[in-house]
Amino acid sequence: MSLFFLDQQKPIEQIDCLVVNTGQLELLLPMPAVAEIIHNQPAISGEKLPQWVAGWIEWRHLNIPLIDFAAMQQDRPAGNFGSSTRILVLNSFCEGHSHKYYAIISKGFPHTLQVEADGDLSSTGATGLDACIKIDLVKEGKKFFLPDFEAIEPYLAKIPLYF
Amino acid sequence: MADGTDVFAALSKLVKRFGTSSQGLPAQKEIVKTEKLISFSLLDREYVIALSEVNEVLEVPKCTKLPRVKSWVIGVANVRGRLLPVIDFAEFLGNKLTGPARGRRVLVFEVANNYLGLIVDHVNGIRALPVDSYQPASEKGPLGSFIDGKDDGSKGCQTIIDRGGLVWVQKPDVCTAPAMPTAVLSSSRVDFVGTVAQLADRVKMETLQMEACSQ
Repeated sequence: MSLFFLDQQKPIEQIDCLVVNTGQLELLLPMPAVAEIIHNQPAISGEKLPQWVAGWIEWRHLNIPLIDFAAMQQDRPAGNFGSSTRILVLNSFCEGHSHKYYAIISKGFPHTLQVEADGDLSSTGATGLDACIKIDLVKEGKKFFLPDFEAIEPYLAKIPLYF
Repeated sequence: MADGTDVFAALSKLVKRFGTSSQGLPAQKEIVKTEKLISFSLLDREYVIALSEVNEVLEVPKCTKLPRVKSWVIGVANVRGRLLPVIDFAEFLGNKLTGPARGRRVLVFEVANNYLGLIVDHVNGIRALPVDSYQPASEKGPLGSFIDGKDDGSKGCQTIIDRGGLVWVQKPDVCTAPAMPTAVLSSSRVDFVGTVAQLADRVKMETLQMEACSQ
């Protein structure tokens, strides 16, 4: 038990992340936020869904909402990415809603990126970022965006339960 | 430009937050291991053979008769330049083919350089049966010594029931191979039993009801 406690105190030196193209920007998602990457599958349309929700998908015997992240940021209807997409199932914090998981559409296959504490990582510190974006990151000259997962929670609360 | 340490700290905080709040993944869909088999009828019974053991399935080809051979050797056929000995499997077993001639097919095997075609009453198609429903069997009857095991379908039906499905069974007394429906009737909860016509009517009725509900 004490070993486990000590392990929890060990500072994190490296974080495995996934880079996901939403069609608009490159999101950087820490691995613990991602439950699974699955193949594209047709979404089932549902009633009273916000326009940025592409529909419901079935995942591990659950029906979870499939969100077009870029559409959610701009409050526009979900786009059609065609068949060359992947779906990322993400964990939620379940704040003010009951959707334990939700899915986002990724254009192309997501790729991994290791972020190190002492690595080449910075932020432009830009203000007025798009909705649901916490911070912009620059690594090796490339720009990524870290989602504001807490800001996503109120959006999830707008999605009714699957019926 | 903001310090990279702050950015990494924000990421670390998120990792910890997900680490404490995330739940285990829901159960993955149970994968039932199945074996693909060719199903055929012979002497009023349904048999299956591993798909990998059958080279091809042909309509009964024109055969050249051979002199001084057993009565069950129909002859040899030219299949794409290869000579295929064709055998009436029912007659080989001391019986006669029972199905209509137009439904008969030749199962072609190539085992240890022996190229051989067996005529059977009918080929029903490819079936995928769960591996765990296979049971070794001591089969009586003409094919008894060639039979390795059996699957009476009852386990497959139980899987359907467990997943909330319906099981409809053809009446055994009007079925050419009654062993399977009889086994299912004696071991599983069955939702409907009927003749082929009654089953077809039921499908039609259920479909109409589903369409009415979805409108």
